[in-house]
Amino acid sequence: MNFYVLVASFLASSVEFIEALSIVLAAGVVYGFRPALRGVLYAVVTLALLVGVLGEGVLRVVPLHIVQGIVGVLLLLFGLKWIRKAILRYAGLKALHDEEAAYQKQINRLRSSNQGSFEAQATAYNGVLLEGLEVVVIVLTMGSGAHAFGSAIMGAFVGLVVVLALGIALRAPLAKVPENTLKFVVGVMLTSFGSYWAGQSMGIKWPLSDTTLLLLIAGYLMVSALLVRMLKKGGVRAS
Amino acid sequence: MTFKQWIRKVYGLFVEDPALAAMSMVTLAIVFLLSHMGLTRSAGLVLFVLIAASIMWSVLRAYQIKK
Repeated sequence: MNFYVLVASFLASSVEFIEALSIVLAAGVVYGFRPALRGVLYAVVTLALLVGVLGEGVLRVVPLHIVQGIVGVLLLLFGLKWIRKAILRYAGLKALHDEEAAYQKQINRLRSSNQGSFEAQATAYNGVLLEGLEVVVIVLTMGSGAHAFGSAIMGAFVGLVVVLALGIALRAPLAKVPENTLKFVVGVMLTSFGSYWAGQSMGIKWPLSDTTLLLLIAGYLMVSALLVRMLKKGGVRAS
Repeated sequence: MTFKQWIRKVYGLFVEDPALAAMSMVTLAIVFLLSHMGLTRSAGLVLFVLIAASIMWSVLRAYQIKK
């Protein structure tokens, strides 16, 4: 057992698992965990098939930057749609007489419709597939580089167990957050992930690597909060 | 469901304000050009600024329409 490879693989894959978890939790809390977990299952099956069929060749055959680009653009568009809606609702521009009731009606409609279910499934699938591919790359490169596949796999597995436990612990408290707040945060997160991945596939070299994601999240949150404040001051209500 | 309806459904899944979606695509094109001109780090800042500006523009436009 190579201890250094185990620790490095644990840390690197945990970052990817946390990113995947945040996307699955976001989709699950808003639209229900059943479709989100279905998306996770499909992504895991896709990954298992890719790795099972191609083995180490997955590094050569699957162009990660192209997958990143496609998933990034889709998440960016999806996130922008959510963020815009949430800002307009917060500012009172998108509700009729009873904002809470109207919003609840919309959530119930989305939850009962196939569209909401499909959105959750597609979002979870995209996120888990991309992050899963990155974990596969981490395990294969670290494992082959140091000739320690067992340690690399063990490190990634421990990371998965730790992050899964975190997800189960966070599920209940997240469900108590108001829906509009949740949609607002999810919109900001998806826009940030989308910007990060789409930008990376376009050739951007993010200065702080994955930590840049936190800066993007903070930046979009600030811009959105500023917009809500500006619009509330303007005093226009939905009619 | 016909192919046209399916396309419309998928489009509706990702796009609410077509102008905002178009601006984000133009932003990515600009970032692609900047990155391939060697400005790989500052392109990140340009991406954030342009996307944030697009959100602001789209929301403020909706505000003007309501007003």
